Amino acid sequence: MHTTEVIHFSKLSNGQFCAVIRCCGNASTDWSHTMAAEVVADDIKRGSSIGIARQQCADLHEAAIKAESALINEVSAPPVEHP
Amino acid sequence: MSNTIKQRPVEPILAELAAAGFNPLGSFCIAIRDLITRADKIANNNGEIQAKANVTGRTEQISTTLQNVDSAGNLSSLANVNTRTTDLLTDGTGSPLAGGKRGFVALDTNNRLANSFRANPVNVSNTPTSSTTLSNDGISTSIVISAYTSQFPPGSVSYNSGSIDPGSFTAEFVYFDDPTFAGGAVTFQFSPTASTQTAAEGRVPVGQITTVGGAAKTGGGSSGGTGGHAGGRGFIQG
Repeated sequence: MHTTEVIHFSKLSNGQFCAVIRCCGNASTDWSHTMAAEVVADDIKRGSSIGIARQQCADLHEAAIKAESALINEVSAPPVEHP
Repeated sequence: MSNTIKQRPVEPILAELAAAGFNPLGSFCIAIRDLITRADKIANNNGEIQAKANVTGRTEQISTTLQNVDSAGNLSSLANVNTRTTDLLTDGTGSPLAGGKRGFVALDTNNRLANSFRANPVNVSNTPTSSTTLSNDGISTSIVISAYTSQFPPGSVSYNSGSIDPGSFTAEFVYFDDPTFAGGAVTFQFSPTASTQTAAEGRVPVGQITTVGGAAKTGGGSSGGTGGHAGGRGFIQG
């Protein structure tokens, strides 16, 4: 189960808006999501857009955890002893 | 600190000797006068060194010796430094570097930029190592930018993933600003106008993608995918 939160929201100099989403309080998962002003101004569009970005952030975190658990205990084949 | 020395003038001293019974024209008073006169050649009654005196071993007057030194003991200008080669200056430190060391690091022996990382990103060619960097599922208007690595001349720089949402299915140029080639987390921006890609010195183009409702598309990267032009290298033609 992943928990995402918008940790930063700002208006860019070009009029677009950027939300930084973080999963499970882990800074390495920070996901930058930039929206057009018309998306931010519309409650439904904004909610949908942020929701999709949250899910992408959580999916990436989940993938990273799975990759870590799969690789962290991976042991290479023992070296061949030469006579 | 100002000079507080206030020496007694010669005349009162001689007057006191005369009052004490010494003959002003006698050999004792003349010897005293000669001693005081000898010191007067190099110092006045205010304890100041006479400007016409010279330092032992030198022939010019001390006023010439010190004419380029200010009241704080500093040289009044670099024009008064005898050897002006900057190679004698100690390298500065700090982050970012300051002074001459900054130029020493940034330029090569031919006075050109030492490498492309010393230039502004908007002028530096690069190639994404991924074939595509942009994708859209044809359902939502959000466009995902995959984490990717871009090959610049001096080395590769990796960027985190992110997303943009133009709010409609459309053609967009995606870019971000990374003036120091720092890589990592960046704030992605987008524009339907091609020239926006080169509207800032630190700008790095990601690519272009045209999204269509009901059809998944890819773009950017080194290939341009199914819905756009390849990113990197330089600006992307519309």
